[in-house]
Amino acid sequence: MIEIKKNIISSILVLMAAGSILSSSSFDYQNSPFPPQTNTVISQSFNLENDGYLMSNGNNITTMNSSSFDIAEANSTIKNYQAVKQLINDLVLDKEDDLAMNKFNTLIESLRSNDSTSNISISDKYVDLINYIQYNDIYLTELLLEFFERKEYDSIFGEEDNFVVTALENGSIRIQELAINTLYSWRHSRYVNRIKNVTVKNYYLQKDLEYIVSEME
Amino acid sequence: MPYLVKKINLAFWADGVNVPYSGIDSISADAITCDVKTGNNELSVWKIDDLNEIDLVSISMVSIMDYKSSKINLVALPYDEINEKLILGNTPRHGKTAIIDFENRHYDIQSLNYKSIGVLGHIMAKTISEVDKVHVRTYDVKKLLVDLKRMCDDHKINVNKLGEYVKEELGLSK
Repeated sequence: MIEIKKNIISSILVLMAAGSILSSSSFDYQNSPFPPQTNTVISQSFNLENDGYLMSNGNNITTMNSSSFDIAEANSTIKNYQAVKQLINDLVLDKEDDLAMNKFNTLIESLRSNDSTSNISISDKYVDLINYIQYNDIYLTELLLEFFERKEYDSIFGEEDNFVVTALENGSIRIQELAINTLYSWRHSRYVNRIKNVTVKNYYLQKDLEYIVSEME
Repeated sequence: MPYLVKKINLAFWADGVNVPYSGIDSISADAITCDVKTGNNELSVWKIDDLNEIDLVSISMVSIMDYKSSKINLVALPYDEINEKLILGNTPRHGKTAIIDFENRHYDIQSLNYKSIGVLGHIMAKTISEVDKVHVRTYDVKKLLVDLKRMCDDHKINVNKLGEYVKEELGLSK
């Protein structure tokens, strides 16, 4: 069973690499989170794509909250989103299941940086993906917040910091709770002034938020 | 007064300030499916003799953490009410903790069914939303790790049972 799941993850990572290549007119191998030696495997992924495993859904583009969103990039984002979603479905992901969460975290980690060996730059496609998730998928937003909670702040990019603070500002009480947990973990944010302006409509969580702001100051 | 302590997510429950608790029908499904999650129709809780001991439960929970977590929210539920209305069993073998001899504090609320899980949900919602706010506590895991280290130094911890994350944070990883 574990071996099957490993294969699924490998397939999805390859499919996402293929999706990125197909949707971009000039593929930048150097800045890609995926290794360039996958030509053979990419041709295999065509078969999977023809089977309808990854389907671009242009209709969803209209739900993006970005005026400067490029159609080709949007297609790539949605392919990546659908691949992540497929992985979640395949894993029947349970947040209490550490093995499943580890697989999810590994997948996100592989997407987030242009250079997997050091956190020096963030992938544009990953930024598009997390923005898309924030406006379209509450469950994946929750999982991402839990992913960020486990990370140290010095490895967090500004876009990720913004993701968490935006979740705190605009999310449901549950999303706000997970954002507070993350800020509790980080003890820092580039957006302390924004955090100070947030009010959470839950007595206990508001106290937690006030505590973490005092820790940040 | 004895209590049974359980970990909760605050967002699922009425806080009694912004959202009053208005009876069992108002308990959210997420509160039941996430915070009253049973296994073998049982629910794990820790017994304390008074509220001063609740800190010990928080340290116990941190002691077995395999992955980083930032804070823990606990609720102390009235032991007498639960013991009167539900089936309670002392189950040290089910207690996961690195604190020596703390397993004895572990209890399971047993034979839970559709009706009794509602009774438990009601007791939880009532306690979390009460006015005095003394039965819900938030703990900062970083501070708990300091307490845990002190207990390690005092030989009150079975180091072999510590979680992977905790071992790493306390510099005890091999």
